[in-house]
Amino acid sequence: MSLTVIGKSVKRLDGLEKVTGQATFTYDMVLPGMLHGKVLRSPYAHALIKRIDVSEAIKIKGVKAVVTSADLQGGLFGTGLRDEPVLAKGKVRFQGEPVAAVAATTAEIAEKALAHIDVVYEELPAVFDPEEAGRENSPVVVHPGLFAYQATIDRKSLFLDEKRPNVYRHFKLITGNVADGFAKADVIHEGKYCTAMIQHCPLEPHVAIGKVDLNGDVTVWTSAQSIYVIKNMLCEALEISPSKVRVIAPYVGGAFGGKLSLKAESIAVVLAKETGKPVKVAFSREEVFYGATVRHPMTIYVKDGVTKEGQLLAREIAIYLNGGAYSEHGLLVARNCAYGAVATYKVPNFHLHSYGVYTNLPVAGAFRGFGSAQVIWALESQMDILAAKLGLDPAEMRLRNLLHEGDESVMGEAMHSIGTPECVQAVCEGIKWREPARTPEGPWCYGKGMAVGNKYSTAPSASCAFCKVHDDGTVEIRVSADEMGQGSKTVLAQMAAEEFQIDMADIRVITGDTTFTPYDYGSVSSRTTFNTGNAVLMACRDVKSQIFSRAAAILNTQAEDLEISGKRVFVKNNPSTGLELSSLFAPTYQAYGRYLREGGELIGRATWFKDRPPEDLETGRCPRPVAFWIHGAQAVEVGVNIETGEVKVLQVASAFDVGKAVNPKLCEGQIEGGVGMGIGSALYEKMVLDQGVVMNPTFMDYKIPTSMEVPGPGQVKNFLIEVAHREGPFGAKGLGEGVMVATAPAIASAVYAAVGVRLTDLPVSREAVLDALAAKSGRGKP
Amino acid sequence: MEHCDYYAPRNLDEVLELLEQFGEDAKLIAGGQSLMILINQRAFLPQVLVSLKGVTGIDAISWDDGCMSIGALATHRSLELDLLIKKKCPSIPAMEKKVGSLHVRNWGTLGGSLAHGDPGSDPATLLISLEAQVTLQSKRGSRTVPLASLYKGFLQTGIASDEILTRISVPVLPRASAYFAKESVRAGDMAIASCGVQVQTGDQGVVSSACIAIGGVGPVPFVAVKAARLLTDGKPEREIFAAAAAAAAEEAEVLPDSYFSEAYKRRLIQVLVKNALETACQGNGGMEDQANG
Repeated sequence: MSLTVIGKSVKRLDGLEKVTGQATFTYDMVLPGMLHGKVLRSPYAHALIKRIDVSEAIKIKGVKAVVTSADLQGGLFGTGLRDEPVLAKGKVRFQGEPVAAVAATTAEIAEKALAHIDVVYEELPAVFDPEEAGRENSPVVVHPGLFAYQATIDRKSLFLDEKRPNVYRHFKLITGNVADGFAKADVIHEGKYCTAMIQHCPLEPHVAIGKVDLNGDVTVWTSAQSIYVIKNMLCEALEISPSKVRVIAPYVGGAFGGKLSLKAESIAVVLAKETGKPVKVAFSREEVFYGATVRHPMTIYVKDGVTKEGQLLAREIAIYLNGGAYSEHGLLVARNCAYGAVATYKVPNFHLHSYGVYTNLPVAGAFRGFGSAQVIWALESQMDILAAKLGLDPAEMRLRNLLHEGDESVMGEAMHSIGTPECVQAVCEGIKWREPARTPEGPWCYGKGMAVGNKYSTAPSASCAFCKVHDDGTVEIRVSADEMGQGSKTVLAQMAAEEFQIDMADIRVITGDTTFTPYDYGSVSSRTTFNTGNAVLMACRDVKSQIFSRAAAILNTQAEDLEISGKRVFVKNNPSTGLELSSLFAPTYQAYGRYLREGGELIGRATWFKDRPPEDLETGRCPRPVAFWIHGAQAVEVGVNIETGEVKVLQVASAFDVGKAVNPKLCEGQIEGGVGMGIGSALYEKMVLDQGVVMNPTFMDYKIPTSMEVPGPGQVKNFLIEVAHREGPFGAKGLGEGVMVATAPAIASAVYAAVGVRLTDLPVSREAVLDALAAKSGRGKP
Repeated sequence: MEHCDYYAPRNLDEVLELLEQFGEDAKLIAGGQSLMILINQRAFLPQVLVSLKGVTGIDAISWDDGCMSIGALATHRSLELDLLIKKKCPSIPAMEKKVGSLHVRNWGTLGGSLAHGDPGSDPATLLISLEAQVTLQSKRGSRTVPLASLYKGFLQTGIASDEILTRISVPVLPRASAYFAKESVRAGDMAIASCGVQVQTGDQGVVSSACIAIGGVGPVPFVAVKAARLLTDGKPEREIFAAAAAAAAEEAEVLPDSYFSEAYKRRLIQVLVKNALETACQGNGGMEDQANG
């Protein structure tokens, strides 16, 4: 079947609105009578709240409400483990935890009022390191109530252990016998790798407007990446019946995993209920750093055994996730980070233990890669080190161990749609792998490096879609996949346009309003093209079959003989016998517009559900753990300044197996954004903490790479590899998260090629490079 | 933002009047590129903000008798693009190119940067090595002091509460060459460490005077006197540069911060001073041939 719209780089549906400033973002919204809410946050990493006195704050002119946990209905909420209050109750567990909130006529008054809330704290000893917190009998216990918390997932799967009171999840993945593997190995390498705490830094900070009607109906406008996750969490946290809650996400100014749980929403609703007015809670940039979520800092131990030909025989991994004060999405990251270790290489003997650990730090949650990026940092660094030890080419080392179609992974899954070998080949060509890096100049030395990686998309998960055919023959898709910049609106429209064989101009996509758009797990886990895409195709086919039945009766033919194209339905072999879709509708009495004589609307409905068989708890094995895997590779050329330790990325080649590139330009945009984020995580980004306090919560001090720090046009090469997935719409999979998993290890690989030192901690600071150079030359620390 | 009174005087006399009236309570704002960050972070809020945007006549660049005089309200961008400065003092536009982003340079002024007292100020570091002087004016009169003497502590200067910095004078020395070197995490960031050097050579190419200033590492810009002394009366040669760089790294007052250790910063100073001296002295004399950094 030849495709007309799929595979074409059509313009973004939201492009014009965004570049002209017409697109609505929650941060810009103002409602009539709206109040402004501000949050009082804990200055301590761990403390008891002895007393809260709001009497002075409430007296301030313009202040309409001050709320504390005493004013709240509902209990704790969470993402599988209910451990988090909307406002702290009796205890704060991280610097930045919400303690009280104020609604006032202006944001300035609300902020001023915060200073007049008198909170008496009693500081408690705190714990910040995940290994220390995860030890047996840790003296500091972040959640003494852990063992009594309600779990909404199988409690047994958490492997809670009373001896390790801060470990909220322990996941095991066991295949074969690593001792046997190590015994047979020619070379064994053990490494320890650490990653820093980093933040998503979406352009639009977290924000929500809450409105509560007199009848108790709640409306929330929010900048979030899953309106149904927000809706359902809100109902749980505030004990509201789901039918009474409407969540609307207009355009979302970036999310990257960070807008997937209640942050501003619950507080906005509480204040709205208290005041009877709409209340907007808009985070400052500083609040985003300590009051939203961060990427889990991880400490990862890896032991590998290989033959002298480079064949992996055994791999043993221990991962400590610094979860911060609440489990949040960390409950899942603690398991799913292990998936980063299973889908690229054949390993006959494999033992993995991962531990999600509470500490008194800002809450770690979902972040582009969902743990895979940190684990792949460790594993790809290992592969590079092993290659050097064995005298093998780093690319060849990887190629010798890759999984291929039909191979069984360490989880016991028969792999499908696995384009890693093609990706490796593409990036090696893109970076001219066989040619030497540029020659040293002054203090600058150059090197090339590469790494491979994968990212799964989660299962079980569901997406629903409506497809309405209007009386002018245009097609309207209604979905709840949030458009947060990734281009889902455009891609879903392309699928509907292909299915109906009509112009993109005749497709409308309605998103982001739980009153009108059906359930979707959301724009998470690189899942919308695959899952929401399938739902859209199913909904299109549903309405088409309705059209075929109606048209068959009029055209006196069989429904199976009909097809649709160009807003017409006609007989397949006789296109002149057909009718305009609009003629299925009858004119109104006044003849303005048309309506349907029977059935109300021409509307198709569908649910796409990707199931997941249960995993074996003791071994973690599962024959189909995820919906699909994105595979990819990146190669880079870097310059290293041996006098200052600075590392500059000069060139990047990326290749990702996307199944089918529905819109190649959007895919390239995703890759280039991911390269920037990957470079940030590799060389620049780090939240600096002192006794749990974030020292650099601003864009001046938290260093996101700018256009000056990422390779420019001509230095970035992207390759889209298409190894179709049998369940993907048009074979398509996903992409969004895969794009940054290989960047950091590729850079470290290139640094080694340039100057011969190994860096194990992210981000790679110039000071660490210089120290490593000094250690290598035997000079000790300079 | 909390409440503060805002004044927009139209000339220098009105500014001096306001400063006399409000003294410590008043803060001058020109481009706002330093002050607004503090205000935004709630680190500081003046009771009275006196805007210099409408004040005319103190942004001109003039040349007189071997001395360049820069009005305090000249923007970084105007100094970066000035053709005559490029010809006579190329180290200045080369330094300005490294200040912030284009947007910062369009708004920020030289006087504002110097008067703010941030030890990481690129212009302060270079201009101290160029032995610049600044003119401070008040209702009481005017005085001219070496820029190097202005800095008393982190964000603290010797500018009295009724004074405004109006002029920066930079002597254009014969047979002198200068260079500004900076290490920052990202292009345009404040320096992790920076240095400005100026070397003047006399007869037979012997160094007659040298000045080395270090920025970004301590509470105030540091003048590396011992290092400069090593250069004086010698030939401008690599071995001497290396010795001077080592001396500067040793003598500078250096504080660690959340990002870099003291040892690393000293290491950087050594590299920057060596590179700056080598680059500055690649030319063979006069300002006209100055290294183009």
